[in-house]
Amino acid sequence: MPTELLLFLSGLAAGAFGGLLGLGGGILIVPILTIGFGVPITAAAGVSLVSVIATSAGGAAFNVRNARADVRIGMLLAAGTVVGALTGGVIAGILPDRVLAGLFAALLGYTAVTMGRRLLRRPTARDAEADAIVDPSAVDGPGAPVYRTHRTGPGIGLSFVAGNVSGLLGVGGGVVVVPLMHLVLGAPLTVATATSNFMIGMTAAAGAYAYLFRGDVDPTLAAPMVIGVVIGASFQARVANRIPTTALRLAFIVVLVYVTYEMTLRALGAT
Amino acid sequence: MSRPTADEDRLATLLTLPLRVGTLAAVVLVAIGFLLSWLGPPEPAVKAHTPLVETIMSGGAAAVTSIGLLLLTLVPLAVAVGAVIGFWRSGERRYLVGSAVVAGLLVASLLVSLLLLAPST
Repeated sequence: MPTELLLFLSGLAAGAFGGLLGLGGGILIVPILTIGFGVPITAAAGVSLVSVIATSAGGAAFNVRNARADVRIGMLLAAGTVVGALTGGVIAGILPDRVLAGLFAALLGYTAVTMGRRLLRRPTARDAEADAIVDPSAVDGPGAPVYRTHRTGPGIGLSFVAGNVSGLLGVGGGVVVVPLMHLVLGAPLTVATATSNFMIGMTAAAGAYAYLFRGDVDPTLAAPMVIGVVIGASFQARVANRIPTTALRLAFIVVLVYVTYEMTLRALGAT
Repeated sequence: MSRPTADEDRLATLLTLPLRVGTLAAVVLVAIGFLLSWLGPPEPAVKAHTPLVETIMSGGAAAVTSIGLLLLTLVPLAVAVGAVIGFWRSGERRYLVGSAVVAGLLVASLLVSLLLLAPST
């Protein structure tokens, strides 16, 4: 199979999966390019950041127009993630890579356990009812979602960490943003994934310009991947609401466990 | 779900317009560049780490793809600017400040990258 077709199919899968979970797909794209195609990590991170923008752009219009993404909380949290993405390089220069990896592993491992415990807990009728009446497009006031004013300060602080993850690893930061919105702010998982998908494009763009202008985004690698990502992300946005929340949560936990494992290996110096 | 207000509808339009138009234009350019490189006459391969401006100035298929990729990376900036305009019009100061921070930082990142990483000649 030609390399271009493999890249296109990889992009299709990353766009669909990344968009569905609000991750952007960078978590898949970086390993695919480095392990599958032997691309150096810097070039892989550059293509990944552009692909994360494509994932966000491909699905966000549908999510915003259909009031699935909360653009208000999204823009507040994006302020934290963009600052975090831009300062990621500075922090990386202060803290050793292995310490950072260990911190991320601990954070993501704790998040995986917390989400796993929620998965095992039987959802009550009150939970489902509370999620169903949330209107992410409501203007602030009596009918506005509670999570918009609930722990916003710590939320923006943690979104800064999400931006750091994005800048350091060349991913969208959704792996932190989605649990942050769902577990810390209390947003329904479907709103958290759609909102994360809306804002990760902005987070990734903050870091992508440097890669792009420096020439670290190879057009021959990026072209088939970006085309696949946009098609995959557009498709997933239209079918996402048919996927049960439990399946979404389970898939997210699997990704968290995988990234925790990778970060632990890096912290131990095994990669 | 309540019916969207005029302000809400305008905000959604300000956000979705750059997303739809920008993404479509970017993907079409990337696809044209990809097809030109695949089906057209062979061109000398772009050397690794060639700055974007040099790739664009050299012309050919890689230049078309690179313009498409640049346009794609400008879509989030256009969305942030759309959010600034939308929240300014609706008078939601809290979100206006958040959007302005995002838009300002993206413009700064773009300008710094353009000025520091583009070739001087």
